[in-house]
Amino acid sequence: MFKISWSNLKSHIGRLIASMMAIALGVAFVVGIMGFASAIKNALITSLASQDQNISVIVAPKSSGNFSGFADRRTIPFSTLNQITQISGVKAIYGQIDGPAVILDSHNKPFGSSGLAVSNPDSPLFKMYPLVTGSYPKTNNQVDVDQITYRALKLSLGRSIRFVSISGTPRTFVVVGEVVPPATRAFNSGSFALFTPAETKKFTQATGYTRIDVIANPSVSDTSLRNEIISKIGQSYSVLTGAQAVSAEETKVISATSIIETALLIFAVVAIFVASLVIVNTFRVLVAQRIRQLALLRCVGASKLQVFKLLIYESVLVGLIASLGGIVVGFGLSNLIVKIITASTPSMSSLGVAVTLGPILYGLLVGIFVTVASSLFPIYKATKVAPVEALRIVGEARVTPKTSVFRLIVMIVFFALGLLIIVGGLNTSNAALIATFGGVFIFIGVIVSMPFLVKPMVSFLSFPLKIFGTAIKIGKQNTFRNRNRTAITASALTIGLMLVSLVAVIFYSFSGSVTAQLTKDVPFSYIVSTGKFKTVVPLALVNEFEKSKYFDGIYTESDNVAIVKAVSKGDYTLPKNRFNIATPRRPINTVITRGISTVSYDLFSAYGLKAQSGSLLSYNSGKIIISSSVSKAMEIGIGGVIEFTSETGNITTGTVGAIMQSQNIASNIIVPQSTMNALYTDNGYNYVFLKQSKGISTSAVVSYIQNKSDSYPLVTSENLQTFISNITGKIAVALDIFTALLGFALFIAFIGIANTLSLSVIERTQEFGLLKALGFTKSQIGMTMIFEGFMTSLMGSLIGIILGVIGGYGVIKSISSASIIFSIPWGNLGVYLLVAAVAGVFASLLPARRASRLAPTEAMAQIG
Amino acid sequence: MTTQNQGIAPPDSKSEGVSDKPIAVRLSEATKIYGKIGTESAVIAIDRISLTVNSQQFVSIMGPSGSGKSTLLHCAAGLDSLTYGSAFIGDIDITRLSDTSLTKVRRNNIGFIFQAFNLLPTLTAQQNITLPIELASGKLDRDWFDQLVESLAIKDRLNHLPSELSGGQQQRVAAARAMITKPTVLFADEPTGNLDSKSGSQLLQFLKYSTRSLGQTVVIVTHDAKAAANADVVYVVRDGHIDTVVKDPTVDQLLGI
Repeated sequence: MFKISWSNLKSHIGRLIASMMAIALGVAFVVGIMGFASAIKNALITSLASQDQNISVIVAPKSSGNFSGFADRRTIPFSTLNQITQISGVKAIYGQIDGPAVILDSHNKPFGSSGLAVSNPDSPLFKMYPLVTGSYPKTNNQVDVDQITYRALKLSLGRSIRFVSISGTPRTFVVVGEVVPPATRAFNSGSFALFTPAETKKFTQATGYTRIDVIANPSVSDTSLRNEIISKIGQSYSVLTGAQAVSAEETKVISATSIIETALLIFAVVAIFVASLVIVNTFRVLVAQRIRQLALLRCVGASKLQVFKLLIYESVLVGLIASLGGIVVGFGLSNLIVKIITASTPSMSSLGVAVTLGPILYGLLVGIFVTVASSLFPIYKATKVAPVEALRIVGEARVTPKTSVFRLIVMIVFFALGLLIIVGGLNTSNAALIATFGGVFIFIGVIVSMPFLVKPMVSFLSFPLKIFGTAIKIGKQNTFRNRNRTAITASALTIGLMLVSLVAVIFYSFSGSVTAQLTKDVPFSYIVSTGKFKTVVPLALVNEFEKSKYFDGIYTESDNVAIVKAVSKGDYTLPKNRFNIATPRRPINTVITRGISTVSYDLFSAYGLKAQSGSLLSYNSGKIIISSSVSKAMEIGIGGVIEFTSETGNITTGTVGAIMQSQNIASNIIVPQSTMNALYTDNGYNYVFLKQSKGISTSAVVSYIQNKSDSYPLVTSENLQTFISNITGKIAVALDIFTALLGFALFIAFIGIANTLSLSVIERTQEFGLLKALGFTKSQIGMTMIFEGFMTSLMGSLIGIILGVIGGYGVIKSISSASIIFSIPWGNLGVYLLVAAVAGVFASLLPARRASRLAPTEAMAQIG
Repeated sequence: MTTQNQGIAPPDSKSEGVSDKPIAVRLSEATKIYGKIGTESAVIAIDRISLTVNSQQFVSIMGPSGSGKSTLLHCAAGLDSLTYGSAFIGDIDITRLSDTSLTKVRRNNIGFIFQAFNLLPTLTAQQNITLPIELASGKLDRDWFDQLVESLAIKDRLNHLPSELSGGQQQRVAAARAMITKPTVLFADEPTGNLDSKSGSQLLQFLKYSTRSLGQTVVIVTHDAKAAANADVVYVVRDGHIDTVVKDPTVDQLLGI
């Protein structure tokens, strides 16, 4: 049996190339992501572990747990180091200090996206970053700069460079060395610099150590030293032996990289799903083309099972070959990406993608499983062929039987279930999640119903093309005659475009709403911030603005992150669920992280803040304002008490004064300045909004702001227009990344169109011969194929876009009560449709060429 | 039912049963109706046909297009099911078999030659011939195989693909494939329909030889009187009935019908 499968496969491998490409691309995506992730993981683990390996005990601040977006910045008080030094088993001790320090380039502009100052240990017993050239800093004005920054800024030993600290004022240092940075440097554009410990402490205004490394006397074991340290300094710190620290770092790195890996793999899943549709179609067609052969096998004594096996082996082989190809491409791609990332880091050239068994097995498993699973149904149907079929003389391309009642029932069931789920979920606390679930059902319903849509849609869409005559008429009939096949081909595209349009609608609505809100009646004209550096505009500068005659209004905003915990519920009643779909009741001390901010009260209306209950004015008397979504998530109402924990470990509480409608600019929790001050000792504000005084020229104001911020290099100012376009620009970039990631799936969908058409050409060889004999020109034959590709693509993408817009509407309605205004990105959607239509034409060019080149005699001669 | 002289007898006549050879194929009241019974669209393809084929007999079924001769063959060979009546291969009633058992019967008891050769295009001649053995996971009888390819004169073409063979050669490969399992009966549906007259008569010569010297039973369907004349008995089918039975026919005799 296997032998027959193999020889069959060899004989028509050409017909399977497109499917193999589709599966291979999907597998390559998966393997590439896994390879890339493991390369990063290994590099980070090696780099982090090498720091801890020779250390006996590492003391670090206790972590508050892993929360996304919450960076634990707690430190160990300087006095703790002295306590540990007193322990007799300690041979050497070193407290590491680090903090922000941004390098200024020769134009006095900040370099990179951030800057980190790290103290260089004064004893070689501790981990030193390897020197490339020069020496370690010995005096307070000396500094070592990481290799990437060193080369990017074309530095040399002895050159002076300026650093800006958290205070915002620059200071000059002398470069004495070039060092190899930690591996993480390769993945961010922030600089890394080594200072003496004393200078690091002074420059970064550190209030404690980031970690304390202790080396034990040879007579003392790491574990016993650890125990001694714990008994000396207590339980409020994390105290680990070197070995424990290495494995803890490993766990951290693995969990961090696996989050990224999982996010990327979602896109790979979409790509593979689309590839599986290509497989379904290929096998449907292949099986249909070979139906006589299969019947013949039945005639000469093959059982149903044997026919099934024959075809399954073939599909396994296809999956195997395609996966192997995909694995090779996947490793190649991920290696290429890693090489590009590390190109600027010569010292990291050792970082490469290791060809490991994991991704290989995964790739094989996914590739073979998907191929076999998607070919299963067509193969099963093929085994039902009656042996008599072998005796039909002419293998005419049969027109599909009428779309089945079964399909109609399935469609209705999915639609009904989807609607039922959505309606049932309304007004429950998980409405959005339930609606998404219902949406998936409806989406499946639409996909199932697509064969019904082929005829009406194609007839409608092709109406204007009628002027091209007979070729279009034939092409149209061809599109109809195997509606299921056309529908499956189109639905691959529908899925991709549905997701792209959905996201486009959400992003566009969001950015449109931001723009609308900020242009309505905002009381300010300039925004001063530190942009990407996300530090504060120093208080000194704000005070100067306050005194100046240029502004008659100054508003501030501070954004930070805190862990929030409901201490008491206040006036909160659970919403009445129509269906109580297993919403787990959270205990009152639910811990989540939230962005918190202080906003000048005058900005409330500009930000579109509207009270749902309580009064926003209570903010002025020191109350906290939370959004309705936070209220729901934390199950807390007016009068409830929230406990905040800052990244630096400070804790304070506040009382809820009002619940506002969810909105999209400021944070979901707005705390008064007093609460913020209790958590963070920022010497300034993240944003300062300035209102230009009447009677003062814009140019005078601009040059005043410029002039004043000159002494604070991190501070940038924008007018309202640039502020808005920066926000919308970021949204556009996010949309582009999303589209690019889905591009893989869309590309596979177009391979699917080319695939279906080429298979149809083989099937219709005789027909084309007949058409030629009847006087069709080459280009008319080609035209029928191009029309089919064009229509399939147009139809698939149009349905996808419509579904995406509807889905986007649903998402927007469910995530916000009022503040995001649904709007349709006509421009984007138009481009998608245009690109899809053009790509559909391109996908059909090769099959069209093949069809038009068939000689009439050859075409007529080919029998079954 | 008209009868012709020269040893002609009705199909149910006892005279045929006197042969001491065992029965290879037997149809009893075989009826096949296409379409929904009792509606206007129902078509009676064969109507209560009964006949027997003895072992080592060469039987031809003749008749014009649409007479039901092919349906008769399909039903006798278990490729199609009967609406009423029964069909036996040897002493197995194939009208009462499950798909699995029927597959086994097809595999072990029936050989089939098609008009359009129907070789698997991706397999060589030899692989095509041994395919039924492989499907049955049986052991190839090497002597039998050699004897077959020798007498069919395809020994030097065994490693060729069907596309590299002439029509006559392809059909002889198909004949070898049909006989490799030493089936109870070999059915052939217009086996010479796609062949030139020389290749056609070579094949018929072989089929005749196989009944005489290899102990094979052969049933062919044809509308070609010359082909049919090779048989021991010819059944002429018209409108779903057996119209005439001719024993030891001559071409002239058959052309006269």
